[in-house]
Amino acid sequence: MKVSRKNIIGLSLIVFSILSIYLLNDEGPTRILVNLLAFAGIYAISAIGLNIHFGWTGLINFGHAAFMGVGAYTTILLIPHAAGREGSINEDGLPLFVAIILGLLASAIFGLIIGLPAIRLRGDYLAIVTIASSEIFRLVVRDQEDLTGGVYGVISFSDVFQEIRPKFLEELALRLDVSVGQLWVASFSWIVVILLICILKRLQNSPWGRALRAVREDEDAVRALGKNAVWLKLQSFMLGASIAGLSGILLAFNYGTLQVEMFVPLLTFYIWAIMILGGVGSISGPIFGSILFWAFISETDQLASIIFENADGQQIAGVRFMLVGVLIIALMILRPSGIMGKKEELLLDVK
Amino acid sequence: MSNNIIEIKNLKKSFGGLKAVDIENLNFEKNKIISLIGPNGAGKTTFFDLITGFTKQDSGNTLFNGKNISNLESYKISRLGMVRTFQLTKVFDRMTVNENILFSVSSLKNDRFFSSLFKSSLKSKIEKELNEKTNEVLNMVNLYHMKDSYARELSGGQKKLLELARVIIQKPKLLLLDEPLAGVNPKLSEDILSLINTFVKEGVSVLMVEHNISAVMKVSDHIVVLAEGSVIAEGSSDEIRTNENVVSAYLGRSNE
Repeated sequence: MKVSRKNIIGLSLIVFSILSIYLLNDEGPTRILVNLLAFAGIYAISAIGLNIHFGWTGLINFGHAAFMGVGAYTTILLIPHAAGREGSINEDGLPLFVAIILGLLASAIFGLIIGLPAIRLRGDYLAIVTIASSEIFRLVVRDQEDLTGGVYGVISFSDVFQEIRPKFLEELALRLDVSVGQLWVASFSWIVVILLICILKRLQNSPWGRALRAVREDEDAVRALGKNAVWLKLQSFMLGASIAGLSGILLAFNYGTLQVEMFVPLLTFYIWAIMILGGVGSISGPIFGSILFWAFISETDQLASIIFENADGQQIAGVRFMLVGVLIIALMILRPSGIMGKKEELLLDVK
Repeated sequence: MSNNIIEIKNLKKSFGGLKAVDIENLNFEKNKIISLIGPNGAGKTTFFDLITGFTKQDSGNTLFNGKNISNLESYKISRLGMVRTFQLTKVFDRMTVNENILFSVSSLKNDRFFSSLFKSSLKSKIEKELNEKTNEVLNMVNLYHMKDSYARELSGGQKKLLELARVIIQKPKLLLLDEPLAGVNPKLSEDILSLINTFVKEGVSVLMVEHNISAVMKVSDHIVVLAEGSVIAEGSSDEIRTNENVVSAYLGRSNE
């Protein structure tokens, strides 16, 4: 990687975030760091998927949480689990990797189903349809208690994932005094992030990636040149959806439980914030955006309790989100194209 | 086989109560420069949209090279070899000049997801060939020096040239140009016109909408005049210049 200004800015922001964890937390900072890395990795995967939709193809998808949810529910319900109020354990299930692949396929198919009628819509209209579909998904899952556990959720499914963790992690976890389960989720997520980045680097400058960018720029011109813009958009939708599905699966393994309330629209907007912070359209942007975002989220309450000594928990929670807002606004003013974005390809003009 | 590239019968389109296009019979000969003129709102752009499939017609038949294209989707019509440009130039702003043209010339097979995912030596060979073709076309329109600039950094005239390069690299049978000279300086206008002449020599038929009458009169083999959605006259430039209807509807009288 060429050492450029933005790489220096990105790396120093990450170093600063990690340092702040050690400075602001007296007890178990490493535990907090591993927790942060697990969430950051998982959200980075999701943001990479969203970046294919919006950054590459220009599709405004506000239903990203549902793509994550479809992947998560499909995979988790196919492996041994316990669902619903009774919580009796369903012992048989498919092998983990088969279930994961089916989960990714389910997300892609869900993307296709939403996409087929909706993708001809432009801009804001697609946004409305996707946010509505994601709420429909959430309400259906909540309603179908027999299948999905409804509001009681799904539990006891993590074993198959933890069984495949390498042995040396246990020793490492002991030495660092962190939870070995979460260390494995974090490591696995970051391996996935690196693999995805390698694949997407290849795709972005390939003829396929070029065609997606052309669709983002001007759909009419794409059609006039004999290319099927609708099919290109559907492909982009499906690829981004299955990447989101993967992050949903990992999110479930990280929590150790699968609750429908994990997939509220707020999750979608967190992912949007990460993508914008990192740089819309940039490949490595989501990594930087995600780490920074989670450092904001996890450290601003520490910061708030230092600034306002006498505040109670509820007040601090409020101040914390104000601080997150201020930091995001400051970053967008200083770097409107995000940390890793190209100024020439600025998609969101804030001025 | 007839010598017409386009044959139109009873093409109709209304927007609400407004009759935008109503053409009974219109044929365009192969390998000619045909110009479409007429006052603003005469339905010229709508006519373009109709035959290229960007707007659905109410009724009528359009044959392109003898094939009925009336209800085909726009991208399929384009694949048959009828490629258009737009009145408001549509270049891919946040892509480089080179990428703009590469996208156009790249085959559908080359664009596929899986073939893009698994890079092979064949793939890089194809991209290399495409790059050579692109360079050739960029040299032709005099944009080679801007190859790696983002298209949005180009001037208005250069964007017109880029759009031309982007369509001509597909080696179309029929080129539809919507106001290729609008907002272009006289020197560049001449360049564009001579480019169009070169295309025709290479066997391309050209149909253009243009308001620059002196240019139209100079280059066109045949002129069609539209007013209120219908053809009010057609013929050579001399016939059009002296046609009473055309003079009163569009050209205006200068000596009165």
